[in-house]
Amino acid sequence: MTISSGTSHIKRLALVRTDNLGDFLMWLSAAACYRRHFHNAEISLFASEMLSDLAEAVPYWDKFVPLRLLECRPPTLSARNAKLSDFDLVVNLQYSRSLVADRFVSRLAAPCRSAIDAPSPNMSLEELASENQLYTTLLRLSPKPLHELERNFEIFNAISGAAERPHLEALGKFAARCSVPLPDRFVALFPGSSWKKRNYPWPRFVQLCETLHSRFGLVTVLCGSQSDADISGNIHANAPQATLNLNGKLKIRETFDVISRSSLVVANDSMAGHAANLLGIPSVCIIGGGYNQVFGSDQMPEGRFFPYPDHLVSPNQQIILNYDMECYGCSYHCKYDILVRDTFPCIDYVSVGRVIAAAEQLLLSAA
Amino acid sequence: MPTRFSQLLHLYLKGRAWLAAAQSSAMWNRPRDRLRAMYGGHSLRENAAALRHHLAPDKSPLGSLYKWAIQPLVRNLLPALTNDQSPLKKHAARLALSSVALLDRASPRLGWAAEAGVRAIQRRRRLHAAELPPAKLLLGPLKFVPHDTDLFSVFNHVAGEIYFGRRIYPIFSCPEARSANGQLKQFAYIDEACPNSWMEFFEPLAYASGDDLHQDIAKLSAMSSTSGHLAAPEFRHAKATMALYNRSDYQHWRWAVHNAVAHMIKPKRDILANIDAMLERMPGHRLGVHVCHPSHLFVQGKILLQHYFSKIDIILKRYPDSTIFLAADNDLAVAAFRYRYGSDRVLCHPGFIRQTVDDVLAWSYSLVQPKSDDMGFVGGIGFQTHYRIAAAGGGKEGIRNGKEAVTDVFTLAACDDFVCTASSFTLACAYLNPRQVQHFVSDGQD
Repeated sequence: MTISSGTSHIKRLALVRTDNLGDFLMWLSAAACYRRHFHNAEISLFASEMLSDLAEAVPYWDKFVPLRLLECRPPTLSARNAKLSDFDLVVNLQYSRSLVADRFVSRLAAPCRSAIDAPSPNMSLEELASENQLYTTLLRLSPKPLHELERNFEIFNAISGAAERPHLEALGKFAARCSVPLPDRFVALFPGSSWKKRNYPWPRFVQLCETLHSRFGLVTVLCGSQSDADISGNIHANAPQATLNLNGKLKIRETFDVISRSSLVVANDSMAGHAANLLGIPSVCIIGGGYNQVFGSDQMPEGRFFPYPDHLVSPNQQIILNYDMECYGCSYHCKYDILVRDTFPCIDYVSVGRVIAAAEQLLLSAA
Repeated sequence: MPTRFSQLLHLYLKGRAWLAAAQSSAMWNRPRDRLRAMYGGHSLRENAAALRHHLAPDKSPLGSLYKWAIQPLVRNLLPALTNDQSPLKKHAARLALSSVALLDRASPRLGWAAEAGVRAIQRRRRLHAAELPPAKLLLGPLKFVPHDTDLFSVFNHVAGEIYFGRRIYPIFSCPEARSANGQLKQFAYIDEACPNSWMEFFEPLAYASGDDLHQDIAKLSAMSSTSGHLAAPEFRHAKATMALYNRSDYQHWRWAVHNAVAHMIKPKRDILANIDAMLERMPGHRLGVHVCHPSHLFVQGKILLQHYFSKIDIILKRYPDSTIFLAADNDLAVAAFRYRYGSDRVLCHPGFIRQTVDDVLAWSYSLVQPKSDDMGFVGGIGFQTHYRIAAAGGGKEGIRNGKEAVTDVFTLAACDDFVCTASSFTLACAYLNPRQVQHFVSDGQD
């Protein structure tokens, strides 16, 4: 379903994304399509303020309005006078809609407001029906499970009427030179994620770092946001010779530079796994079952975020490590949440031996 | 507006009703909720404080509506939003969110604020649910000093810390154990003449080839110590362990811990020889049974021998060639099992320390005196074997008792089926042999 009145008249377009960096990276190639298609329109992007460093360097929109994700409100505007500029079209780009984002979109003055009409783990069907009333156009997409990157193109095609094929964005052009001296050869490790219980247990990363140091002479560079500082601090404290802790010291675009210069990236289900794919760097990604299902006798997961479809990323470039459980596909509404202290079982049960073996496999094949 | 107001009121009242139903239901008394109370760690007051910033009073008429309806609603539903996973409370939480959505239609300012508060709480819930690691937490090497409990509870703490990723070296010595615990009441497995009685039971731990640190008592003594507090709760707390047994991922858990731990801990050769000798006498299907002294009821519940028999009878129908290996700390259980299944079928390690039938009778007579407590202690004295030996200062009897416990557990772990109760033996067998089928006996129910 496309915008009923066509898109040629649109002079002011607002795009709203309230998700995290990894989702944003997967959307960049589709963002370029929006720029090309709406070349005469002024595009405003409303997205998390934590993306500012990157979003201000990307030329696919005219104006970036940083949002505080928790409140879904531009930090520069007080709540009382939060009336924002008029737009011809506002698109809520979230496939998994949330009450917060819907509420924000309803504050943007526009004759046409568009969103995806699909069940979301963030709201009940009744709530979805209620929130749909905020929109003038609802995009009904294929019910077939798709990777998020393909879904972004499906959304773009639905809005524009175009037939763009999914492809990866070349992220390297947005990287900024890392201001910290780096070793010649190193592994980039991102031990955190947006949710503590989705982090692979950090003591096992210590084992990985020490093994890679003793067998390959590789130093592991620890990266991540400020919220991961304790984890990286602990890894570094326990493997000081094998690690270089840059956690919290780099901007996003500098992090891309670190990834692009690394021999291997090891990450949880987080931004770094996506960035490694967009930069063409081999990576090991440890994922849980929240957004995945397991099919076939080889027990390989298929999911919304990882692994990438083979036609986009070779399976030899990224090794996905998972532990199959019958509760896969829970959207991380984990039934063990209150019973486990540190890590969701589907991630905890991935043995460190598998992580080390996968890292060695990629390092040896690159050599 | 009137429609929305009435809808809001309806939702509010419905939410209150659901909450009342949830609070009054028996679910609050279930172990999971007690478990949450133990580890959940956040209070209603704390959550209310998180909201206060977002839910500032408003002087408009809508502010009054908010004060009257939304504020108490959100406040009352906070426990549902933060802690509980039960369907009733999830429903209540959804109602709260629906109310917020409705209010937003009436007043975006209030809607935003209210939902921001709810989101803040949800985020806080995620953060609090995960215990953040303290900065500069050293994984080792560390000496592991036992706390005052039975041998296999300590063993499970050791396993839990190894599974967490720590490099620990147990040191079971009189000075270390007494300086950490004071007078020992349960941990009987030390002897003044033995610098590290772990070595009497198990081979030294080695984390890499050539790692002989465990045998250097002087170096070990100088190290920082741990007693297993970083092990996950299921290794340490009986209630968390019980919750684990009921989790649908229990089998996955057993394999994960087995793969990380089982190859690390090996019994001494003389103990292995005893185990092998017993297993040779069990050529067919091996059925292990663990019977505790009845004063163990504070963990396992009121188990009767009949409860074991009914489980065993079912297994014997399926595997008629089974031999039963019985690990019991009292002769009463041995006699009862041999009477029912025959001396040829029921095997025990010979000569182990067990309470006599008279000891068990003496304990039961003591219970009619007004001095017994809910731990089965009478006049402050525990009646399980290790309590008695610990009270006598451990020594050679303590070492012997420890060797016998290790022999029993590793023999049980080698069995195909295990009829068991909630005990440290059961947990140890769970990860020592994840292929073993465990049949839980508790209070006469599965």
